[in-house]
Amino acid sequence: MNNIILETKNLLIGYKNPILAEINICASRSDFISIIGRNGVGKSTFLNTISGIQKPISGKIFVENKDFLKLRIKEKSQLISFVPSRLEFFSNLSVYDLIALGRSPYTNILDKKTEIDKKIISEVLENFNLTNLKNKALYEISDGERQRAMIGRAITQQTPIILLDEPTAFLDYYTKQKLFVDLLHLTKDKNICVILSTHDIDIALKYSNKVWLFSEKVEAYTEEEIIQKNVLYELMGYIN
Amino acid sequence: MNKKTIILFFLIIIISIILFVLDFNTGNSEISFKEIFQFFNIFDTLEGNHYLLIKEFRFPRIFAAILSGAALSVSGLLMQTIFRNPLADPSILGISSGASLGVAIVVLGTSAFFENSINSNTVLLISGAIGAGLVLFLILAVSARIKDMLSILIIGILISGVISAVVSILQYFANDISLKSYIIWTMGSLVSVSFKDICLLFPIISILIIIIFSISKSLNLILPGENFATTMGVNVQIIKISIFSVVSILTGAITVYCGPIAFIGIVAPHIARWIFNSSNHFILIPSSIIIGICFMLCGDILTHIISANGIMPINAITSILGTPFIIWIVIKNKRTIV
Repeated sequence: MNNIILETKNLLIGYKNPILAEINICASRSDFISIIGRNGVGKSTFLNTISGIQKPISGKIFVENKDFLKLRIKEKSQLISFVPSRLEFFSNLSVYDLIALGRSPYTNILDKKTEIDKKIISEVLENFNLTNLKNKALYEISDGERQRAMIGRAITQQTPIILLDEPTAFLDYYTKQKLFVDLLHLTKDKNICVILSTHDIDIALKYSNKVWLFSEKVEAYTEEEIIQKNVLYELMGYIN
Repeated sequence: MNKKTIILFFLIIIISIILFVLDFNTGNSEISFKEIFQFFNIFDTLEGNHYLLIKEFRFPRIFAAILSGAALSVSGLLMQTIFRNPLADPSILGISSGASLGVAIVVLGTSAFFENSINSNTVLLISGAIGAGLVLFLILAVSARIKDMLSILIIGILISGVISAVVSILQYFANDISLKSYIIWTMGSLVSVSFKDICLLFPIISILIIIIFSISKSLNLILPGENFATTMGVNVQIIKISIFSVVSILTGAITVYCGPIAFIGIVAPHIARWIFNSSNHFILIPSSIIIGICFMLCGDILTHIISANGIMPINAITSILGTPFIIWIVIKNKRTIV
C-alpha cells in the first residue's frame, strides 16, 4: 500500500528568488514531522506554499497523488488545514464559532450545518477539553487554550494533513509538552499527518518521528540520525 | 440562530416600523395615519393633493432615508471587516470624498467652461461612482503592498485632504449658482430625491445587498485573517474585489443623491455587534441594515422637528448623533472588536 500522502518534486519556494535549493521530500500518513531551522531560513514560506497560500516559483506538490497546485481552492481546503502562529483578528468570535468555521469547506452558501457537522464540532470540543469554554470569546481565554481551539478547528476541517506554523511560540514549557502529546495522539488515532515548524528542538525530537532540517537545503532525518550525525551543532551555532 | 437573536431581530424590526410610520407623519402638512394606510392599500385609493404629496415628496424622502441607511451601514460593515479596523468607513477612507470629487468636477468644473452646469442625475451618479471607485482602487493598490492597516487609514485621510484641496480650487473658479448648488449638496439632503430616482436606486441597492449577503460565509472566514481564509477554501482576491466594487457603487450612489452622509457606516455596525454580541455576518449584515435605517429615519424626523421646512442638513444631524458613539467606541474598546 502506498502510504505516501505528501510529496514535493523539485519545489523551489520564495517570492522572486528561491530561498532554498530544490525541495524533494515526502511524508506518509500518521507521520509526525517537525521542521527545524534558523529564523528566516524559509520554514514559514515552505508551510505557506504547501498550504496553498503562496505560489511556488517552480516544481510540483502531490497530495494523495493529486497535483495539488492544479486543484480548486475548495478542494485544497479539504486536503490540508493550516494553523497560523496567531490569528490576525479574534473579533468577538467565540470558541464554538471558531471550531464551527472548520466545517465551512463542506457547508453550503448559507453555511447551514447538518447534524453530522454538529456532531463533529461537539466531538472536537469534547476531545480538546473545550466544552466548558465554548461560549467564551477568543480574547477571554489563555494563549494555550486559544492554540488548542485553533488546532481543534483544524481537526474539524477533517483533512488528512495538518500544518502548524510555530504552534508553541507563545506557550510555557508545560503547555508545549501537552500540545505535542495531543498532536501525537492525532497522528496515532486518526492517521493524520502532522507537520509543524518549531524552535523547541528538545520537545520536537522527543515526540516527532521525523525531523526536516532546513538550512541551505532541506533534509529529512529520523530522531537517531539527528543525534548520530551531530547536525544540531551547526544549527545552534556551536563551533567545534 | 438562537432564541435571543430572533427576539432582538423582532425588536429592531418593530422599532424601524414605528420610526417609518412616524417619519411618514412628519412634515410640513398634516397627513393622518389613515391616509398613509390608504396610500399603501392597493384596494383603497387615496386621491387628491395628499396623494401627490405622499407620492412625490414624502415617499421618496423616506425611501431615500431607508436606502441610504441600508447602503451606508453595509458599506461601513464591509470596510471594517476587510480592513479589520473598527473605525474604517467609506468616509474615513476617502471614498465618499472621491464621490464628492466626481460630483464637484461635474457641477463646478463644467460651470467654469459652460454657461449652464450639467445637472443630469445620471451623469452625476456615474461621475460619483467613478470618483468613489478611483479612490477605492488606489486604497486597494496600496493595501496590496502595505499590510499595515494603520498606514492605509493614514493614506485614506491624505487622499481626502488632497481631494478637498482640488475641490476648493474648483470652487474658486466656479460661478455663484453652481457653487451654491454644490455647497447645498455637501450638506446632505434627502429631499432632492425624486420618485423616479427611488425606482432606479431601490433595485440597484437591493441586488448589491443580496450579493453581499450571499458571500457572508466568506466574510466570516476573512475576518480572522486572509491567509487563514485561503486555507479554508475562500478565494480572497475575488471576495476583495467584489467588496470594493459593491462599496464604491453603494457609497457613490448614495453620496451623489443625498450628499456625503457621515458616521452611519461606523455607528450602525457597531451597535449591531454590541446588541447581538456576534461577528457572524449572517447576523451582522441584516441587523446593521435595520439599525442603519432606524438611524437615518431618526435623523430625518429630527431635521423636521428642528426646522419647520425640513431642509436642515441631514449630515449635521447624523454627525451630532454619531460622534458620541465613536467616542464611546474609542474609549470602551481597549481591545479591538470588529
